[in-house]
Amino acid sequence: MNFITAFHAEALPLIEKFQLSKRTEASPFPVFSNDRHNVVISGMGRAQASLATQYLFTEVINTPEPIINLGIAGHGELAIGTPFIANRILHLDEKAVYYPPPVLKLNIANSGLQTCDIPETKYSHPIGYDMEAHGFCSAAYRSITREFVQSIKFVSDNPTSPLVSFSPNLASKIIGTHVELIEEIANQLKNTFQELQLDPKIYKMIKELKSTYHFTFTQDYQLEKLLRHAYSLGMHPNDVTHILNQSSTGKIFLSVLSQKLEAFRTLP
Amino acid sequence: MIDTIYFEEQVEEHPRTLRLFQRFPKAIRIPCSHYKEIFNPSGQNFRVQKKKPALILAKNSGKLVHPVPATYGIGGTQNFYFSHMLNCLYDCRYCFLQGMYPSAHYLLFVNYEDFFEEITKAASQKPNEPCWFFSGYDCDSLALESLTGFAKSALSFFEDHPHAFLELRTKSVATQLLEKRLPLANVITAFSFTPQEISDSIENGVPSVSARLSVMKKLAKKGWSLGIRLDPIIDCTDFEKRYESLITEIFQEIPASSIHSVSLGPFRLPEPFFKKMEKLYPSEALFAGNLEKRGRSISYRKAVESQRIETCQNLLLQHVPSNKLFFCQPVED
Ligand code: SF4
Repeated sequence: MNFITAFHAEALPLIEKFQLSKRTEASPFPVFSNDRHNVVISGMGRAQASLATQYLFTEVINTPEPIINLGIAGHGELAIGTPFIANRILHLDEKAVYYPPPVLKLNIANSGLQTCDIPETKYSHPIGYDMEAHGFCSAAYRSITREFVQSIKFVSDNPTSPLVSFSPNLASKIIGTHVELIEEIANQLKNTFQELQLDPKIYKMIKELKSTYHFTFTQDYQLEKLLRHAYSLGMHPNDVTHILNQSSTGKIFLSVLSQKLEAFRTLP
Repeated sequence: MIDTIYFEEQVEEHPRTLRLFQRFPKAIRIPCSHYKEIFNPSGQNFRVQKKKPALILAKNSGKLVHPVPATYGIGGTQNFYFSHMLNCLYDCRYCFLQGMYPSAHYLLFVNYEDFFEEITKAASQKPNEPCWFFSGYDCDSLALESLTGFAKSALSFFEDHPHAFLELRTKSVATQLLEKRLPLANVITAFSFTPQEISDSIENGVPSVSARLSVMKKLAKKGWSLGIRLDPIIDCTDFEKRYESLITEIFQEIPASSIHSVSLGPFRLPEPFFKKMEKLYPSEALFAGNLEKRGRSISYRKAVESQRIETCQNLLLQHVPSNKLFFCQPVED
């Protein structure tokens, strides 16, 4: 899973839980990773959050994957320590209001979230107040569909206990209490995302074929389509392999596969 | 059933909004300025949203009644459609809504009265010609009736406007509303069918053929006019046998005198919709069928399509006269 946090203190519970190591290559943002998770620490503010999100998609993972913005926030109503999912993210200077689609099955609070340029101390509405989520969404929505972009916040201050100054210890403590919840959210997003992907066997076969034969750009497209169809139409992988073994060129393989698939094209 | 309700601030106090808030007291309520903020943005995944759609309550301030393409219709000279709701309870893999809309949330326009006002205007343009209004274009007309109450309002309206005709199109069995009241001569309820085996594999959530026939039978007994819609026709193994058995079953159950019209339509999708749907469901066998691009649509190859339509036409003509049989063709053909 991929996470964007503003501060190291917010990332710390994840770094410890997932045993992440700091990447050593030069980078505009600190990045902590293992083979399954990445955390990018953006620094404070929506511009930073936006840049860090962009950086993650272009330099760290290079491919669309689910992403979570995690951090502390003020709230006009919820108690200190309460986690909530942002369901409406606005910034008063921005026309775009974001509505992260409700895809998570969790029994936790839902709330609107206003991203502010300076820390909010008035808590005028019963919503959350942070400094990053809007910038995070605007960048993430350019790389992946909105269902897989979620903002999870933990209340650090509210009208009865207003913000005095950022306390790294408190941030780590509050978020650290909920690492299981964070893991659950990450798993739900990952599983939903995986359901949408083609069977990895197809990708494996495409890779194998490409290393065996040369395909033109158009043939590449055909190859992917035909293999996808072979899978959808229930052709046995051994039959595909058999065709492959009988074909002396990529072109012949595509042509024979296409012919053989004709018999499968009627819905059972 | 509904966990999240988005509502436009302008309809927050609308009686239908309040009723729905009451009906789903635990649902999370999220205000918005305009439904388009939620429904329209690109970069949403219809398939993921379809697992648990939210409800969006809004007011449609645009054009509410639209002309139907000339190649559609069931005998009227003036044909219009309107959509009080976008998206559907069911999940048919061939449904064009998946290709047309960025979001799978149920979008309900609560200003029903404005729809009826525009229907009145459209119907009064040529008061001496029958004017048809089709309601099941962007949703199933009855499947979410318990939530919307739209059909109930529409029936009262059409009762007072006998020169206007309404088609409710459905795959649901939520027909209690019709069963409870006296039939209206200007309202037909049209049920869509594919053979049960096809329905099982690509019409998720749709009641069985026999359940639909059983409610149709009740409605026929009550005196309601019924429509049969074999649209889209889906090519499949044992095509003739399956469609023959479906058509026989329908006409065994439903008296011919209750049938207002039967329509047939080939499977067709505008190419951009098809591409989007194929991307959403890359492993779907339906999209790997005997298809080709014709005009701006993706359809079955011409020979397959013509043969399948002809088969159904011949089967249907054994039960209904040709003046009750209609064909829905893509505009390009
Ligand atoms: S019942 Fe009709 S509107 Fe609903 S999903 Fe199926 S085809 Fe689409």
